[in-house]
Amino acid sequence: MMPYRHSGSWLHRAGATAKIICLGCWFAVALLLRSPPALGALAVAVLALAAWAGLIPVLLRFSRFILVLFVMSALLWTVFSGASESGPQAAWHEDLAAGALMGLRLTTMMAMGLLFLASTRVEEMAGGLQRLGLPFVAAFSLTLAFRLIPLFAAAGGSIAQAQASRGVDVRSGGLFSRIRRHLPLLVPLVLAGLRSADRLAMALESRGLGMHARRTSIIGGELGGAGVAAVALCLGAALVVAALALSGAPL
Amino acid sequence: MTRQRQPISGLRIEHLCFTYRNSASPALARVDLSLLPREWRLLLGPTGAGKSTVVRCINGSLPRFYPGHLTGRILLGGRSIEGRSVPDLSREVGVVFQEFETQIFTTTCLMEVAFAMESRCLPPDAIRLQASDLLRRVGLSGFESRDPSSLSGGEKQRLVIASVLSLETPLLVLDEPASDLDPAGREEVYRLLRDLEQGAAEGGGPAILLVEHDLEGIPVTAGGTLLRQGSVARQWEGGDAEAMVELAGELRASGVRPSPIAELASILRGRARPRPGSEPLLRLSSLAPETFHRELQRTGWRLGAPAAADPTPRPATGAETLRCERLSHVYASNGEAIPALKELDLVVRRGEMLAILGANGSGKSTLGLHLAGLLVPTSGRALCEGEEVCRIPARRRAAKIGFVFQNPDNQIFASTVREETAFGPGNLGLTPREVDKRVGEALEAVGLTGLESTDPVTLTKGQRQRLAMASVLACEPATLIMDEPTTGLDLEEQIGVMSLLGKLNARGHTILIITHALWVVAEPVRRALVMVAGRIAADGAPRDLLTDEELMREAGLRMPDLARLSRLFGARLLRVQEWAEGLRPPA
Repeated sequence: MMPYRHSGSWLHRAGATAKIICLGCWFAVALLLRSPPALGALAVAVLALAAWAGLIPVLLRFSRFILVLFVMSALLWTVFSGASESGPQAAWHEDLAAGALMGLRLTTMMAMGLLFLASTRVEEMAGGLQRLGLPFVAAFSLTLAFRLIPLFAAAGGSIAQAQASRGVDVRSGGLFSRIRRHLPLLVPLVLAGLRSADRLAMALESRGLGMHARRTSIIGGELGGAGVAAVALCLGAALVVAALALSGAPL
Repeated sequence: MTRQRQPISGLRIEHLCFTYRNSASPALARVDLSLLPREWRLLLGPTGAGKSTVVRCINGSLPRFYPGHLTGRILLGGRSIEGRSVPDLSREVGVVFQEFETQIFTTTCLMEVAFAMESRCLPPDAIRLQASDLLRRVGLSGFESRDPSSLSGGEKQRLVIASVLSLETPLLVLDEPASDLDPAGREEVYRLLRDLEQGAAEGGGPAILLVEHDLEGIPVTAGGTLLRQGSVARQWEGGDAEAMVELAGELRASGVRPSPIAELASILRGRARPRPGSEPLLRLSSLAPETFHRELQRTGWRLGAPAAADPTPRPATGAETLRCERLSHVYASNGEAIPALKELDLVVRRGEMLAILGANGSGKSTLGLHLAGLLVPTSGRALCEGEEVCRIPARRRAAKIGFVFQNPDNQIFASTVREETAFGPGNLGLTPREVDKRVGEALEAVGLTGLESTDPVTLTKGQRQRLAMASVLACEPATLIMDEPTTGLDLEEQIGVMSLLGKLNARGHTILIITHALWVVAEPVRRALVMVAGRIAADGAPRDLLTDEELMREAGLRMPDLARLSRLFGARLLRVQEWAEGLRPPA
């Protein structure tokens, strides 16, 4: 369920603060680029980074999600974007191209996010966010959501099996009947979620969360020389792309 | 045995009362309890006696997380906790709550143990050193980078204990720390607590308040408090083996499972009273079966022939109902393949009552899920009456095989007991009249008649477990599979569930019980499988399997105390009553 993959690659060793800033820059670049070759080059660069960090298997593991995202966003953008300005005859071509471009943009961004999650532990993420000025409790709560995904997935699986053993079949029948049949799954899942949240909060406070306004951390994550260089490079690239975009250059 | 004392510091609870919001009756009514520094004390009681409420009050979680009305006083180190926050109190009291899964929230063992020290703002280098040392103390040396989700149940619980120990509090409270663990995991946890106790005896460890409702295998060098319906029913000091023998009857009557050796010794003493003025027969220095065996021999007790010649159960002769053929299952976790079942073959006949035993992670639940058609095999087949179970449509399958999960809250969703029970038969497309009939019969079978309009949330865990059974039973499956049906239940509830399963079996249902609580299968079960690493290591009568020391060791299971006693006598007796009937007093 979680993309994190334990490894000693350069991307894993890089500080979380630097990775968060660089990810933000790469997202900005992906949003600013408008031409297929430029976006394609960015996608290739992301793949190259993934290969360098040995994280291609992670992208392959999530390839179905990436594919679904590409197809859905391309389709939706084609239908709703209204990109064409050259008359009704050429309209569908342009809409389709705009849709495909948006699909490429979103999947590239998703791949970037996956590389970040695959190489950064949730605690490093929390530490990184804290160094960027977010209060610890907010940063911890944000990252805790990632930690809890597998727990909720496991609870959801058990609940689905428990109801299936009483004859619930959520896969057959019409849409409304299927939605109705999900009720016995959702109620225990929500209740289990609430119970877990209470117990988790109790355990966290019992272990001193909130004892002091600040905390120490055994996780490094300081920017360091390489981090500063990477941040400077990414920020520079993002600023150049932004400047070109503002000047109307074809990107 | 009971004496008054005045604790100088440590923990002191005075006239503690607590009523949960929206509850008519108090959960605690004038509870008094005290614990000296470095002392060890048991807090015992059946489900609903108020044990967890006391624990939550001590560290301020009540009424912080569960609102209600609290009166009385709690003093830690001579200072009232009133008005203090939970994080502030965490400097003085460390709590290991029930359900360790929700107490682990980081991605490596080192970070988990470091969490509390980071909260205390200790320097990172000191934290790393101390966290590694704590992991070593709980037997998890070398686990620093391991993902806690990959640990076994016993390892996870020890990790939680290490994390709480990192608070370095003078008081440690553990709320049923071994209730979800297999016997080996349970032994690991109690070995660790014994080490802590030794540390305390040498002046270096915390005081420990240990909440339990099952005393088999628990160290007895502790005083105790017995709670019943929110009040203190009994307090005692210096709970050595003799004290536990004296208390055995009262504990059992209160829904706490005493050590079986203590219980047996108590029954035997009652039968062979010494002459006035003379020493009691059977003086016990420990509750180890070996000590008890020596004492029985020294005092001239002997095992009579009739009870010792335990009848071998008749082999099942019904038609074949379930079959596994070279069944294998592999789970995928983070790209890793984890084999859970390895080419397993099995035949279950109609009308059998079968126990599937094994340590946590041995594959017993996976086998149960396959037999219920809730998993698709990686290879091989699981069949029900010749049909591949996972391919039978859900509705038709529900009428053949029912699966009751360990946690009843995974399936309960309706707002009344009746609605919940009617859900299964409703899915089968039966007429309302037939559904009503089945609901009535199922509720009667599990003893919940009269509670039809009750909201399931207000039931006890034992009642919710029985409701989950009723909702499956109402589908009238020929086979019923129960996953850990006694976990989290007190003695009375466990006996009730097992007796109910016995009755259902007598009515013709095939029953499969998945469990690591070995003592519960001693009575009604006629056949047991012992699973080790995804394979069936042994298949036979429970009495033969449970008294096979080598098999138990291989399976990572702890032999029940009475099975160990059986080995020493060359017998196969597993129940206290059987032993009491079989042992003949000295002439």
